Amino acid sequence: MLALLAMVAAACGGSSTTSTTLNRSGTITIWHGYEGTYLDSKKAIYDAYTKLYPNVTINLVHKPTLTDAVTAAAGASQGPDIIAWVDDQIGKWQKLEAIKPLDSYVDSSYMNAQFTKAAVDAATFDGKIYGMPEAVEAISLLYNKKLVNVADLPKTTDALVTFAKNYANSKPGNYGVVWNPKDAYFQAPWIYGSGGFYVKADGTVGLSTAGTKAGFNYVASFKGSMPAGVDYGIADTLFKEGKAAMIINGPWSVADYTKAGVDYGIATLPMFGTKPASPFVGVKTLMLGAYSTNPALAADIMKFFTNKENQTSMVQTTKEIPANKLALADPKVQAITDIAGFGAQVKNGVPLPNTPFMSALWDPVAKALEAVWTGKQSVDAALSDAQSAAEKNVAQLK
Amino acid sequence: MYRVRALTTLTYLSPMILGVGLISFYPILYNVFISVTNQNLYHFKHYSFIGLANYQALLKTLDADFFIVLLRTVAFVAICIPLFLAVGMITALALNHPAIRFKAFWRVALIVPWAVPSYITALIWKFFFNGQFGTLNQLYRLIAGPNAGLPWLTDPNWAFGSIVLANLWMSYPFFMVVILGALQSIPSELYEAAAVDGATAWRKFWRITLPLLRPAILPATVLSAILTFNTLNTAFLITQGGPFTSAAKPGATEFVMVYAFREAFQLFNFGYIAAFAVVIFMMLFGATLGSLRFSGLVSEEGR
Repeated sequence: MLALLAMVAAACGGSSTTSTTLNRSGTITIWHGYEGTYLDSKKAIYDAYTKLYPNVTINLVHKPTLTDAVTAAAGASQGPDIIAWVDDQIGKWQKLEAIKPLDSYVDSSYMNAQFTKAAVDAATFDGKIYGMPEAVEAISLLYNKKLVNVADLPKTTDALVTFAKNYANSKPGNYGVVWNPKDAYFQAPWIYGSGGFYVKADGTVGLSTAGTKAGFNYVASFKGSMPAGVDYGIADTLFKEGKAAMIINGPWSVADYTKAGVDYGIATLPMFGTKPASPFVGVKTLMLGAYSTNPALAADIMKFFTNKENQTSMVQTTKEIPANKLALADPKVQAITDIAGFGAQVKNGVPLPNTPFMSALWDPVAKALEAVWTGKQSVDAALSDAQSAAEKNVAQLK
Repeated sequence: MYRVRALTTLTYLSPMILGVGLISFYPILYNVFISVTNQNLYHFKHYSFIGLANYQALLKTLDADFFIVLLRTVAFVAICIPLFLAVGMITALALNHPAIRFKAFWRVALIVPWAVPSYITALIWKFFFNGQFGTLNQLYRLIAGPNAGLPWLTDPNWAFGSIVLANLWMSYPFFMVVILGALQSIPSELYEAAAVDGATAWRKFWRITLPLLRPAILPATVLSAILTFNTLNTAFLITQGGPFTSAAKPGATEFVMVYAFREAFQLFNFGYIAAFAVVIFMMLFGATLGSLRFSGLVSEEGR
């Protein structure tokens, strides 16, 4: 095992432009949000690195509210060497000067050779490389094999509504499908699938477009087929207890479903006519902290972490879809059913916007969804208010 | 001789002056400075002076967020404080009553809500209030049938009341402790004399207990009013400022601090929210000075 790792490191070092001069010693601090089995399998890779280079110390620091911590630290011109988070923060953190580009340590040919195109795009902002992508994630339709036959899975959005209504009517207290209907991230499949959008990179807000309205109307059509107070936690619990036949959730949730004894399958979200529902595709990314004093070493660790061999072994336990395309193509990885299932959904997805304007949208969209879900506003009124609130927020950011 | 004395005094005072300056005056001045800049997500380190534009945006129209949030917070304080006082008074009088047994037990039990970290209490209440699975609605269903449910957190007015209830639970022990301490310092001779004169229990309370409690209750009330005005934990953890009835209006429990937190750390409008903080600070400062003078505490201490 050690010999293999040494070979990996040698192979990795060979392709690195800085390896000849890099002095592998010092301390690297990594802020992350890994938990449970995720943390164990990721820590194993960092431990392998420090075993290879005993002069290097890696401090893994778990931050429960990581995005707030990064913002606060950036204000004080401080921060860790590496931030392990999702790519949607890249635009914001670049503006906050919390992260800096990696271009002196990796070039685009290395990135394109190692990672899938979507992952390279996610890690790139304003033409610069801001991170090394780790894993790709998107929400999908999970079903309980004991409660739904594969043949009965709804293929169209209309069929999903009908399924949910019939199921809830025939089994009181049980639900056909559940998810959090008051959150912008979880509604992206419907909004983007019906041709709408939240915000573009130039700051154009798309909440009053016909596509976004269609998406909102679709969400509202599930009123009565889901519990009125449903949120992420309630949906999760209902699925675990077998009281919901299907749930819309992401790869992070399945380890818990296995633990709860749910025999689940992964299906793709249904079609809006000829267009697929399009969830946001997020890319977990290692980013270089703007105040890192040893950026070359940090970049070397990122390369080591995201290389083919380490990602291939890591996803055996985490069941994540690797952003490293060499690892993704590996038969051992393809054999994992979760990866094949979520991988099919990722193909229909749209990139999670990494523009800083997106931070101005989460809040108004969530409020509009709540107003519609609780019946306080019509879809048109809610979206018109949300459009003006979001435009005001965007203007303040400019 | 006098110079030496002044110098000595200053030397002795310097750690305190330095401390207060660093942790109190510097942040306030820095906040005032930020309030006249355009610091936000896009201008985080390279912001510029924009004069009073933030104050203009804040106070421009009467239906601006500022006035909605302010009025709602004032109403929240006005409802909470009398409730704190009433429940604190009743529990303190009960604990002080000679007929109550196992006083030590009751005293500890009633202080527990105060001793538990407020975020834990808030999360427990959040569960109690949950429409479908919450304890309160489960109990309610025993009486009202299996499909009933009260909109604890989903209706704007109910949610406001729910936050008042959770806040009352966390805050009454403070008043209970203050009042109980003051009750025990009232000489029993006064009550004996009153009993000899044939005074009823009601009369004793209004003529002896309440006037003698006043010096203890007043500063506690001012302090608690300021803390309640600045509520963040309870409202944010239970409702996140919601329920929201529109994206263009603040939520039903979006009090001053909740609003400030959302604007600053979710939308990164640092300049705007600094101006908001300055205005709120001046109002609170004025109200505190006014209430202290009105209650005669400042002049009493000055004597």
